[in-house]
Amino acid sequence: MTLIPNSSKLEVRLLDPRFVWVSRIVLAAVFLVYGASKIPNLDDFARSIENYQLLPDALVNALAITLPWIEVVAALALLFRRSAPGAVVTVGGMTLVFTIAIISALMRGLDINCGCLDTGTDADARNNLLQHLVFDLFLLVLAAHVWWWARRNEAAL
Amino acid sequence: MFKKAIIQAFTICAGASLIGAGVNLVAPWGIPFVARGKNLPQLPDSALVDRPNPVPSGAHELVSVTLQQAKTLFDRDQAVFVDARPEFEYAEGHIPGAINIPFDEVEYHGAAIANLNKHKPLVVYCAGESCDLSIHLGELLAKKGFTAVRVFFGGSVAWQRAGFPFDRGTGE
Repeated sequence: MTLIPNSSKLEVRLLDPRFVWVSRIVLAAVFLVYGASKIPNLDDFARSIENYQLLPDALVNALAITLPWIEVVAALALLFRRSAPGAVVTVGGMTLVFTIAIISALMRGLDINCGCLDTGTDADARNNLLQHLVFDLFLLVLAAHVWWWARRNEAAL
Repeated sequence: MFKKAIIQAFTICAGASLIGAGVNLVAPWGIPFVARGKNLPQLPDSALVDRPNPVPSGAHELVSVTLQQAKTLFDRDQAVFVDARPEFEYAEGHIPGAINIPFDEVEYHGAAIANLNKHKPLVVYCAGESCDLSIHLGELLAKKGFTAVRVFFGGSVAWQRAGFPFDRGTGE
């Protein structure tokens, strides 16, 4: 189960439990805020999902109802050693899906704020998406870090 | 490790979804599990009577109208047209006489809504089939007690394509 035959110094440093804790806490905090902020605004959130025009209408609300809670529960589960591997797979998987959704929206020239096709004048909408994309990539790095640690410490988890 | 993590992840998703569904049932902010989408019943042509003030048949009536029905209501001046698009899009052009209540900023347009006659037919529209602002505003107005809300899904796109009168703004 070794990723690198002999643990390099860098690897030892990167997998320092304190450093991994930082990644876990940042991920947990982000997803806790993501999830908790959406829960009382499900109508708005359902509309945002709809604006991506990726899901059939019938599934939009079901996703809006469940996704914020998955974010909250996964965030909490990240804080516990035993559940951290499953939590990081959940969080990483969600981030990956968000990233793909954003890339697809950018490629289709969608304006996510109104769900309409961008006529090319609204640079703000595009920048907003690009910022989200960069942030999601950062979250993916954190998730990969936690996953790496989980695999290395398999026996202890 | 991977198998264990997947099982955990599945448990997290399933458990959280159940919590979410349960909370949604009881919470005041709950939403329907399946959105109505754009499946509105269509206004029967028989309802388009040539009277100055057609009385709506049922309370809280939320129906859709076709391009032709919208045009008929427009020609007979039997409905107030409500443009649900953002202000700048309205400024670029709109159906003549339409008022603008941008759904995304509806909280700032309480006065405009209060000024509308609750029993006069409203034709709510946005850009076209791909936009949902009209149905969302329509649902909101119906919830607020407007009794004759008609959603025109074709919107400004279908209206212009048909060559119907359109107020072109300054684009400001």
